[in-house]
Amino acid sequence: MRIEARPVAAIETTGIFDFILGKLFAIVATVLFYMKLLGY
Amino acid sequence: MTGKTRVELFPLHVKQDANQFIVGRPATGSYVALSDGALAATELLSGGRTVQDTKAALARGRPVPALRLRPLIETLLATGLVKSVDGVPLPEPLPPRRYHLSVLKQRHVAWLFSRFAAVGYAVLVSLAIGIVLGEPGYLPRAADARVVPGPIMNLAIVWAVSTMAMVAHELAHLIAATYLGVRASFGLSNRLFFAVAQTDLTDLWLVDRRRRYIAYAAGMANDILLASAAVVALWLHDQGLLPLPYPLYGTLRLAVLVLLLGVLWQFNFYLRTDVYYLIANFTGCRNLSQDAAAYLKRIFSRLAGRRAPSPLAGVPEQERRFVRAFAVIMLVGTGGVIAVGAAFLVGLLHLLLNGDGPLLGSAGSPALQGRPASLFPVIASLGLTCCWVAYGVAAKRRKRPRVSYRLRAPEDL
Repeated sequence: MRIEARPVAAIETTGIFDFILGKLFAIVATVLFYMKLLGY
Repeated sequence: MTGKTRVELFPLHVKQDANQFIVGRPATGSYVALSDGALAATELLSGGRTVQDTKAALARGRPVPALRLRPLIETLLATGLVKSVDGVPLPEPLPPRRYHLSVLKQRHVAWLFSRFAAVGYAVLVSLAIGIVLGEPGYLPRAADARVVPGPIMNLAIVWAVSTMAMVAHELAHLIAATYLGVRASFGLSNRLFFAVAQTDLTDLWLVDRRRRYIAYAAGMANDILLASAAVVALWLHDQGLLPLPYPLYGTLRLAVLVLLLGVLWQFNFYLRTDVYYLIANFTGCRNLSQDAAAYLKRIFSRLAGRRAPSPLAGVPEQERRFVRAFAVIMLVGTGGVIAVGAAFLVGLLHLLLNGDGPLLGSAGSPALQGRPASLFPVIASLGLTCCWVAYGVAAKRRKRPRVSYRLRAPEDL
């Protein structure tokens, strides 16, 4: 007979906020900046 | 604690899951996975037997050498499932949960999951796919993020659309959970530096594993349905069948972009997104992320010359393979996203310090004195994200166990 016990994790599904300005624009700005830095 | 100790447990819910049992307490959202022997021991203990009597009852008629209940009792204590020991009530280690929208009942939402509704969803998504295939111009573009020229008004529109999309996404999870017969709650949190809303669906452990997919996928299904509806509305407008004033037309294009990027973001599954839960459910790993994190921590400890016990000691071999693979993905994914975030911050800092001029096209009016106006939305977004993430971290700390128990026993239990 096995006596095994393990806690199981909470289930927390997610929805992201502000993907566009926070992340996409930020990435675009970063890419443009590094392109400028490299002389393109 | 001795062999004569009686351990009183809270009323527990039990659900068979593969070859184990999920036992838990929805009031605090604490659940444990028990083997058949551990479940039998738990039932005997909750029936009022002493530890000694429980061991004797389990061993009756069978040779059970070195039967130990200590690890089980420690787990029950740590997860807040023990109400009292020898009649002495124990302080609650976990705060009580609050559910949201409890007025919503299964009968209110069942129609959304009917075959009739499923046919409607399939027709809507097929229409949108057909429109996009026929005219790729309906695919979202980065330019759709700009609805109006003024950066502040545009930021307000983007945040309004993002908020509505996020609320609809979380509501879809809650509605699906209600359909499956469990309750849920909303909260704000973070995944690394991403600001997220989350729905606590922990009570899904009491639902059949196959049916849990419905609740996990509901958010993304909702996003795809709303994006499809928006594409169809845009197409109807362009055919002259649905009059839409420009701001609304542009806002719908923005909504398609926000919703579909939100779905794409879910594939960062190393951050415990919805896709992560689909994968974890498919593989049957109940602690995939936590085990992978513990596994990585142990590797780093060993690299630093410290000895650490194996965190996968009680994990079945098949599950261990998934945990190891997930640990690699977690390490690479997290490293990658941190690198992108760091590159962004360095770039933004340079722009701010040097006042290089607007990089993201012309801006309406200067929003910040002496700063590129078009950077204002990015900075405002960054500020909001920082506050949100700080709140998320504080909220996680509040949810940590308030009490930790250390079991002391003169004999081996």
